[in-house]
Amino acid sequence: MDHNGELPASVEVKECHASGFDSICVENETNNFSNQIKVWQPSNGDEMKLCISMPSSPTNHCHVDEAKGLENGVPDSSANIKNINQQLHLNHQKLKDKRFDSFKTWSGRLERQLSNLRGKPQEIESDSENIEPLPLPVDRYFDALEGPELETLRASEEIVLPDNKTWPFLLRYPISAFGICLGVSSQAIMWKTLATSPSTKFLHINLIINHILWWISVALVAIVASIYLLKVILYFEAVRREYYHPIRVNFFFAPWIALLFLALGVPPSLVSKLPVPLWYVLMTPIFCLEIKIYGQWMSGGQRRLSKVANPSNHLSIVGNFVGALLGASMGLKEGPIFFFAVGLAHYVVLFVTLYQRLPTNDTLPKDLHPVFFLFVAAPSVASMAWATIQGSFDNGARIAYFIALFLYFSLAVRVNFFRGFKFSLAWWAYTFPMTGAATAAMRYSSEVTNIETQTLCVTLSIVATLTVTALLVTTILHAFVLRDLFPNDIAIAISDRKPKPHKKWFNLTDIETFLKFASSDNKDIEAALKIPTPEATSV
Amino acid sequence: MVLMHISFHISPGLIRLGLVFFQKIFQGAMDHGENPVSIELQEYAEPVPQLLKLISSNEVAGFDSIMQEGETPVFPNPTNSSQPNGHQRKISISISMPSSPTGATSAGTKNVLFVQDNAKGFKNGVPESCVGSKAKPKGVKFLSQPMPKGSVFGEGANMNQNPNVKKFKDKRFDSFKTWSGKLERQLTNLRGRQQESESEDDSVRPSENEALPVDRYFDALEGPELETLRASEEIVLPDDKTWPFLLRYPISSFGICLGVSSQAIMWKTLATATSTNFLHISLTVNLILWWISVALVGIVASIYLTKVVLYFEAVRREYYHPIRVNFFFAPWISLLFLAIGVPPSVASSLPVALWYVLMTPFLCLELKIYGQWMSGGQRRLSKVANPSNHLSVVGNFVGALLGASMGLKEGPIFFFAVGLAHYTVLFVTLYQRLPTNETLPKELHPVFFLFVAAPSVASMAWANIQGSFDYGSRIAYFIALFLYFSLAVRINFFRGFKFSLAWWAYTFPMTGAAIATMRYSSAVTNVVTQTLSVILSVVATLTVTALLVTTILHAFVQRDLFPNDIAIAISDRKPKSHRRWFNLIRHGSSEHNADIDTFLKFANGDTKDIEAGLKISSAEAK
Repeated sequence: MDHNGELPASVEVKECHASGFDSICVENETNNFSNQIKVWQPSNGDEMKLCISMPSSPTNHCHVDEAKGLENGVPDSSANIKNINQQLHLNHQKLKDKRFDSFKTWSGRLERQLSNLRGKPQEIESDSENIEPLPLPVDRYFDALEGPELETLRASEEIVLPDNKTWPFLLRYPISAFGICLGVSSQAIMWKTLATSPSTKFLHINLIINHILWWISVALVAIVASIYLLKVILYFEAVRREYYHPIRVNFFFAPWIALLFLALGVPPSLVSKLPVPLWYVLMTPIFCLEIKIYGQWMSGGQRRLSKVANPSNHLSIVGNFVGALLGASMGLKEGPIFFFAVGLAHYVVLFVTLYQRLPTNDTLPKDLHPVFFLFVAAPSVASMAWATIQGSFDNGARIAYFIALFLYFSLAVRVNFFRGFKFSLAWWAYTFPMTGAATAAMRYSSEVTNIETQTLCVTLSIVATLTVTALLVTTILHAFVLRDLFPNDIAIAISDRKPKPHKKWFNLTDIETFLKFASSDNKDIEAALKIPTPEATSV
Repeated sequence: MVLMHISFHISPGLIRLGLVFFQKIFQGAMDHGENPVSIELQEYAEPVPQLLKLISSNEVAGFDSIMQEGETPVFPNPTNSSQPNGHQRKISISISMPSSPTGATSAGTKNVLFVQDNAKGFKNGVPESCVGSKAKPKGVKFLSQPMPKGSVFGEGANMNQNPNVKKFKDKRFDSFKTWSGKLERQLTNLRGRQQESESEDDSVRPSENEALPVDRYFDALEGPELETLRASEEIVLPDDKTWPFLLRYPISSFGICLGVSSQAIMWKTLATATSTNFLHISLTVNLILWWISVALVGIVASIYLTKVVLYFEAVRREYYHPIRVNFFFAPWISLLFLAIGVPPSVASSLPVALWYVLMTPFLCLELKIYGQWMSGGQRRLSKVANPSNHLSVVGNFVGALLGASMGLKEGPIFFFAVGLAHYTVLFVTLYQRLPTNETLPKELHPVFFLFVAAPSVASMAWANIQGSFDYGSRIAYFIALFLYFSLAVRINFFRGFKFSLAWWAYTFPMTGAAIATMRYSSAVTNVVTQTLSVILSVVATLTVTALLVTTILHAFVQRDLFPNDIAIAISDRKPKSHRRWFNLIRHGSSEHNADIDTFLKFANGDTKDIEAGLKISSAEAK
């Protein structure tokens, strides 16, 4: 709406709604601007055009503002909007559907085609009009979002979806949900190791626990994956936006890592030996993703490592080591070494970069955050992988294990720093490093069996189990009591352009309200502008 | 002394001015007698413009004479016989003038610049009114400023010197010649043309000046190889004509040796490796390629040696170029390659002493280069990191490989360890793509293939040291393989770059990866590894062939294989916006009105360029 901020626009909106919101969309898609202009208001055709093109793309400000205005009537109290509001309530249901269209696969055409199949051919579509939206540049994510997981909208920014009501479930369902699978399936591995490792024989743990946990995690992986698959099918644009999100992209490794965990934690009673092709099948997607992600780091552009480095990048590294571990335990030779080598090289790079905390690193949380526990994951898994490759827990494996142990301690003594963060589903992904460290400790204590190592591995196992239990309780609380496990996923709905100061709106009736909004907006925008200028001068 | 000489050639009026100048100078000696040179630069009162004028008119007597006189240290004289109250320091300016173009801070450099600009002025003959310089308070700044479009004395001199144009053309490259061309003149003298009495008292030897600061390279040059001049910059050599061949001959020519001699190694390995026995490749290919590469190394090195002898200043500037310096490793690496690829029929085993001889220059260069990274300053790693730095790391591994294959024990491990440590640092730094990294190409570039070189050679070196292709070698090899894949799938990004001779250096990593694959497939012999080694060899051979064809095309058809090597000819200070000249012209005397238009045009153009340059940098900052 800020394109055409004058009153005529809202008048048109009203008229549009008199003829139904649906028809706007349809008319928009059928490209007959001129027609509409002539019919409605010949005097100011330009504004008409703007109004018509409103619902087109997901990134259009007009659309959001309009939607907001329709819902609340907040932005201005003009009579027009009130009228719209009343009319809106009549076809509220229909309206709700349309606003999310832009995030649907092929802008919702798939769904309409499905409904057409069901015998409701209601709209004539012109396919030629559909423009492929360009991928959002990574800078927009940095500009529009904040917080350690880049999931909170900055005050000055706007989103392209309505932010005052709950979105469809699939849109709120983030890729980080796979973290649950990681957490639970790593527990299955831990209990398997507890039951089978010689150093923990004295605990007399039954393999049944592993069995139960493994089946639970299989079920979880299946559920989480099938829901996400639905999202891929129905809301492909949302998935794409998650993929371009500099932090979320790392979680795209999570499904494959979870599958590797399942293969690692498979109960001995179920399958004694996994087929070798399975390993190749599981490692192919990881390899492709790595070529893509590591290449982005190296080849420059907006996603170079010095800009996007974040502890969650460990997820993209740890897959190598998990794959190496699985492959070596299957008896493969060259493949595991390959992934181990690739993981090692990039782990060194990532480790150094994260430790440096470069000032250019836009995604790194200012303070500690649970995500930092991912630091522990790679070296602990690497130690097990190397031990399995070498056939014994040799010095190389020990070096990796002790690095993991030190990092674990280093974070554990700072546990105070980890409070006060808002719970998010991604936390599940941060529990598997603890479980991994516990498993590595068991491997180590099988090699060096004494009271200390045994105590250590029992302690670490308890800590990991407690953490997972606590997280489980929190998740259940959020899911069923607070009912906010899946809040609106702001991160995928940022608009593709900077918000403009709403100066034009001053002219409108509700000057005071507007001044308030405008001035606060201006302040934010200036603050945002101020940040880049010192950089510019320093360069 | 200079002034005395000058007064020979100028009008009586100027002599009067010169006398005033003298007085002022000698008055100043009282006040600031202590450090004539350093304070010199800041304030230049009226005298300087005359100086300028005087020098220009001195051209009548021949450019050389100034130079020689400049070389004689005249400081003590004026200072001692000084009179109260003038600006004694000015003298030192004119004296140290003809020194070397590289001194950023010394007065001498600026003067050389001036001299060269003057020379340009002669050549172009574009009339410019420098009358303003007389009225200008900060005359020397103006003096040292590049004046590429000629000057009024240029015009005057042009008229006078037209017969001598040939001579001047030669002189323009003098500053890049060894001892500023004195060597050549001495040679001429030997041939019996004793034309100039040279004062060999070289205590103020020009070439002793400081090196061009690395910032100048970053400011003045752009492009992935820092070889293109920015629009706002100027060079100290004439850019509209072809320079002498040696000045256009870059150190990156040794890349050809690298590419061909690594091919010789590859064909040797193809012929001898157990895994590629099925190809039945004869060692003759290796023999031919080896002799070709010996010849190439001989030719390339001898030409470059000539450059070192004749144009030492140009070599020095290449050495200070943040990217070119890495290519100084290339000659030694190609010698190592020759030693590794030596055909069994030529020599069955090489003398151990050869290894020590070959590794000594590496050690020295590495001490210098790695020390620069670590010890900070302008050449710290976070600033100069560039994939071509791999050239300075890969030598360690090649040396370790050669040493281990000769049967040495400790030496190879030493170089392997040094290489490993610095490779880790370099690898991390390059992967990070720090924004402070001014030399890193924004996007991918063929130079990125150097990423593959170090790990693939390291894997072979470690295998030789250990005696078997163990896990350590495999890790290095697989890292190389992954990087190779990662670059290969982005092959689209590598198009659209202007060919340069340095590309040859980027082929040897491919060859290295192919050789490492053969070594690996000898350890793990199956169809997959054998196919991989054949494919990689074919790719490497095709690349080298393609590059050979391109090089031949550029050398003989397009004749631009050796374009003017802008990178070595940047001036040692930023070009300034010529706004001040406006005022000068406007307030200047009316007799030069005709020139004003020309001037305004130039000045405008310059300002625009500078603003454009600023705009770019601010856009980048955003």
